Amino acid sequence: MNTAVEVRHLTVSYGEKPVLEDVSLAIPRGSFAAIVGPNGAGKTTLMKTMLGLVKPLAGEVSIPARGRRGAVGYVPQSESIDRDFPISAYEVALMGRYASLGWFRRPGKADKAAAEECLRRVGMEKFALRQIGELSGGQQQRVFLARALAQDAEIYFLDEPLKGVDAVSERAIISILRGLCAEGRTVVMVHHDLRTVRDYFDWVSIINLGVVASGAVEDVFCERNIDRAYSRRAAGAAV
Amino acid sequence: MTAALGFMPRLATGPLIALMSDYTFRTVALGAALIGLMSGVVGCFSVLRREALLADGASHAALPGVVTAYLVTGSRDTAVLLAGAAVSSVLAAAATVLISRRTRIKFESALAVAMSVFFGLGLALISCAQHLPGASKAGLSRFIYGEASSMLMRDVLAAAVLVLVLTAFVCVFFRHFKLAAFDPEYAASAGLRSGAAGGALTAMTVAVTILGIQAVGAVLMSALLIAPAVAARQWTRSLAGMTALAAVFGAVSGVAGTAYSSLRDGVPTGPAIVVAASVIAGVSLLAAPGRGIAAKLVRRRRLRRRVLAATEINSDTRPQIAEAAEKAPPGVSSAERDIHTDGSAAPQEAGEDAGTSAPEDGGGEDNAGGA
Repeated sequence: MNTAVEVRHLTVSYGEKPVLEDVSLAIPRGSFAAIVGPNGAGKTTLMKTMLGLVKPLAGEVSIPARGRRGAVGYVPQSESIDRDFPISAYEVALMGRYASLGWFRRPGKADKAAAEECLRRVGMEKFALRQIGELSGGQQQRVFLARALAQDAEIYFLDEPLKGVDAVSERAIISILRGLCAEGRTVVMVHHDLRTVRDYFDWVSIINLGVVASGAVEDVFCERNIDRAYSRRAAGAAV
Repeated sequence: MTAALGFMPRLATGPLIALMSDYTFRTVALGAALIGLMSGVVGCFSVLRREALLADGASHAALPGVVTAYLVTGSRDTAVLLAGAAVSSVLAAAATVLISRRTRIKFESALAVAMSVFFGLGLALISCAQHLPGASKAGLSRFIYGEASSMLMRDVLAAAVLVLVLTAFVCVFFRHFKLAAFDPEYAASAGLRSGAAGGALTAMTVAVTILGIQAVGAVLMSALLIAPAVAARQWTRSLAGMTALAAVFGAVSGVAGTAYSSLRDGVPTGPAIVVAASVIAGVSLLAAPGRGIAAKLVRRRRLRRRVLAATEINSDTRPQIAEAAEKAPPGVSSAERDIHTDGSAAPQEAGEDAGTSAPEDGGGEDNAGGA
């Protein structure tokens, strides 16, 4: 298997109690992969550890594409940003070019055109000069997606990009992500809606503290595995 | 009355002109302007990164360093005293970080503890040092409330060099600072070391704070970082505009405060500068178009008048409206229902106003159509 991201024996903890325990999984290149699990299962933590934003207590992450700066794209949860920051949608999209420019080169004509083109791809070109705080949740998500697209990454990580998003935005986002996979890029996404897993994804990792199941959707996304992931939490809550 | 008014300008402008032509004042005002300018620029990032409190800690914690530097070296040279200030600020910051990482105490509480302990220590040391021969001449107490007039041409030149270097630095790396302030996690994920940019911003905040304590004082220095940035945010929609405007506000506050304290004997420069900055911030919060409190009130009143007018026109169709309200979905609040059920005019006009602020998905607007 040609892997895009692999984690081995990952344990992460913020305090005394581990948030992730001995997580090992691999995601093949070119797949559209979902990370699912109940609230508090450690989905966001797993993603942040993969990205190197959270330091694991033990274990390792390998992303072969990481050699080039900007090869890893990330769309954070929209709540994580300051909505009152004085910045326009276009400026956010242009940030996607910074990684390939490095510290000293300024964005040129080509970079600006790329940022505009990416806003067009997500259907936000009319809002280019709007402040980020003046956009709805779904529109913000699309702007952050445009930033990731402008980065021209090989592997994309998205943390619940469909949370609080209207149906039109959801369809637009999914069709763009499918396009990325068709080009051979990998998309890894934290997802909360179990009903759409079969329709959208070809790979799924079901986690709850540890890995419950990870593999092709048709192989592992079954009632039994879902029950195991979601009832373990119920058992934990009862204690 | 008129005689008094005619008399006033002469009273005020006479000394002011004399002041402007005074060499010492021009030197000192230039120094205060430079400090205000740099505080404005750096303060924008502190405010947006929610690090304003850190500047407060750094300035308060500088005091014992100033006194210790004097006690150890016996020097009254500003550079030596400020070096001591920097050391104790960094020590306080290290203590804060250590406490918040190793114990359950939160960062803000740790900062408050470190800040008050260091500041208290500084005050105690100053009163001890006052009893030493020659110490009162060293003018250590000027670091508490600030005394711009103690700035020599040499100090102003040093400040000018630092301001020039920092400004160039901010200009070259502006977009990286913007990214580090806006979304550091994204920057890190893309392989840009946002920690470096963030660290540089924090270091600049501390450097400007220390630079400012001679003129503004340890107690109030952080206000000069925060007030111009808060004021500038009200008038602009871009970070570049905010930074430039905050620089202007800071510089103006510096000059105005210095002028006021030179004209009124016994008013320390620090409070005067900070009052000037606060007046600018206050006016901006009240009167800025769009974001100001007055503008918001006016918008709300206008909307309310439209809604009321629409209700008036349709008052004879009340029974039908009540019926429509019954049918409205339970999620719509009664206030919203009133607007939407009052015929076609209200939703259109209300929509116009909503469009200028934030786009809301206007579901439920067509519920009234059936009535």
